[in-house]
Amino acid sequence: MLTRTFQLLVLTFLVNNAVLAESNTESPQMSENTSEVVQAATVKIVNGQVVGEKDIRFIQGNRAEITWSSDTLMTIHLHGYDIEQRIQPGEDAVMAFDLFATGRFAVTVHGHSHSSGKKEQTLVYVEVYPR
Amino acid sequence: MIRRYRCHGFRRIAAAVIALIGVTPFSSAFGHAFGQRFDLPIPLDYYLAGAGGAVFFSFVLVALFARIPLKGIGFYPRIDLMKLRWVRLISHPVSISLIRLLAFSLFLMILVIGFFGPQDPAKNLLPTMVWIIWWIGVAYFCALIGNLWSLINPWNSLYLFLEYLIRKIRGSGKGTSLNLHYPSWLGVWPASFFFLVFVWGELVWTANAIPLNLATAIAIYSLVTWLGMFLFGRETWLQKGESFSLFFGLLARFSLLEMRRVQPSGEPLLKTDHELNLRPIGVGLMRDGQIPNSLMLFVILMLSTVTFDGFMGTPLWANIIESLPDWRPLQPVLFQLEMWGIYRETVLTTTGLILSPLLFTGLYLGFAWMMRLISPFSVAENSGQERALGTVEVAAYFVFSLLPIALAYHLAHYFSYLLIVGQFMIPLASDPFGLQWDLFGTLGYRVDIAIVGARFVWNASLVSIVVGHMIAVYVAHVLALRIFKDRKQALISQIPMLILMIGYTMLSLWILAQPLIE
Repeated sequence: MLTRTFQLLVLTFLVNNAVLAESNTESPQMSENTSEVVQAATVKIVNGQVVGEKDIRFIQGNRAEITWSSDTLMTIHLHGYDIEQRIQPGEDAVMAFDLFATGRFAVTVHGHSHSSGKKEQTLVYVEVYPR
Repeated sequence: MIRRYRCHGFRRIAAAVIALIGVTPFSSAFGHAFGQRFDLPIPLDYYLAGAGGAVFFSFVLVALFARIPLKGIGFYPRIDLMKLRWVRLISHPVSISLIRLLAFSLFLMILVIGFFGPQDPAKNLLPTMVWIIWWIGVAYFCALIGNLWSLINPWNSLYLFLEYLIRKIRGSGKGTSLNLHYPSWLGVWPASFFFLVFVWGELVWTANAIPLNLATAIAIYSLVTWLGMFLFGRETWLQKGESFSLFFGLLARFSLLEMRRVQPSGEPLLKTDHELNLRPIGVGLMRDGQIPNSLMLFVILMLSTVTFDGFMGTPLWANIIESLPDWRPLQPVLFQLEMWGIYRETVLTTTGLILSPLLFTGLYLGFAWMMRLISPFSVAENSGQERALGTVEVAAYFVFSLLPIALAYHLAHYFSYLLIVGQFMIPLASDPFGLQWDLFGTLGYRVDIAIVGARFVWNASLVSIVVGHMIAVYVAHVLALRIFKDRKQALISQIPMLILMIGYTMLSLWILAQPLIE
């Protein structure tokens, strides 16, 4: 009895995975020089705060291109992928990288002391979903 | 004038305390100090499959219990591994002593490194050893395989060795401890207290990754533990006061291996009179006999802190932290505390950490009351008379059955973290003292954040949650069938418990489905 119900459970997972894999369709553009799919995102920072969506979603295996703009000078850090980026006011800064690992990664401001005190301020989260 | 002076004095003390709590250059919680990766929230269909699975299997189990023969329920198959030669070799007193010596040396080494090594958390062996390898890794091992902690516990090892030495010198073990009478009303409260302080250190203390802080905390706890052993005896303190022996011991009730004492031992350092049994997982939770109230509260403390740890990462908690300070009556208090340098986040998280076990206790007692209401529980007294059980007794009787749900959530929550942040051991092993050694040629190793994929984590989480739930329901039903002679009454008594368990499992799933925020 239990083994059969177990099999059922395993089967449910497999079906789930198949459904999810199909539902993860996006409308990415193809870049010109490589066959890689590039997913672009723009993040606008005003007064140290992000305007709009705080979660940026990507699909594993693609290439991410995040364009940052800020009205103040700051250095940001994408954790996990471990990428640092300096943003000058009035200039767009582009952070491009291959999305090899799934997960949810924080982008924090370096050396910025938050009003609540103790930790680095998180600007956005980069989410990389499996294909 | 006097008031002012006092205030000044208090401020000075507060400043000293805060300096100790640590607003230092590395003032970030451990996870953050490392390039951290969070798990993706489990998608809706996984969430629904998990919830559906939990409810479905609950009813499958109930249907099963409505039919199976009750005779011999709770007995389980055991295989004594001591019959195997290599197991006997490993568990030979000499090997055990050697393992204890090694573990103690490692403990001493990382403590020294914590005090004198580089103070960058990522370059010091201590934080990774404590927060990842020990706190998560050893917990996993104890919960799934067996009580490793009882073997490697350095505080126990040193004291055992001391007892052994004294026995050799004096010819008797007398005088190693004062063996004062341990008051029975104290129960496991000392362990609960230290556990709560430890969890505060884990979840709230922002400077918990700074080697010097961590080493100091360990040194203080070591002294307290040895003092406790000296005052009340080693075994007593391990059972009542040493929170990690209690914690890992409770986890190990779930595990595949059990140690059974065959006959009373002569020399504690040279124990050979044990069986090492392989058993079905979870059966160690079906304990006969009354569980003391303080132990029940320790278990609830475990459950609530595990859940609160996850809850702290949800956007809901972030909203609470954001909006609560706007609440008028709270403003002057928070303002005053902030003047003393205690941040509102610390205040609110600490409050939450203290309130959550109270909330859990209230809720659980409420459900125990309902259980007692629909099926009167009673036990046979020594005199042969039946005695009705009170709500608290009913709650204590079933409390272990809730552990698998918390454990399943804990496994799901920390699984990828252990595998990813655990990789910090690879470069650290090459350079344990921070002297730029490269013993194994792995100093330049970079953590592979792609070592576990999201889909694997989702599946593992789901299996863990559903299986944990099933074991919990199973254990509770076996316990109910044992106490009731009547099958129908036993099953009816479990309806509130089943609702509570489904609710608790849903809470775990809900947390896993949240986009985690730091």
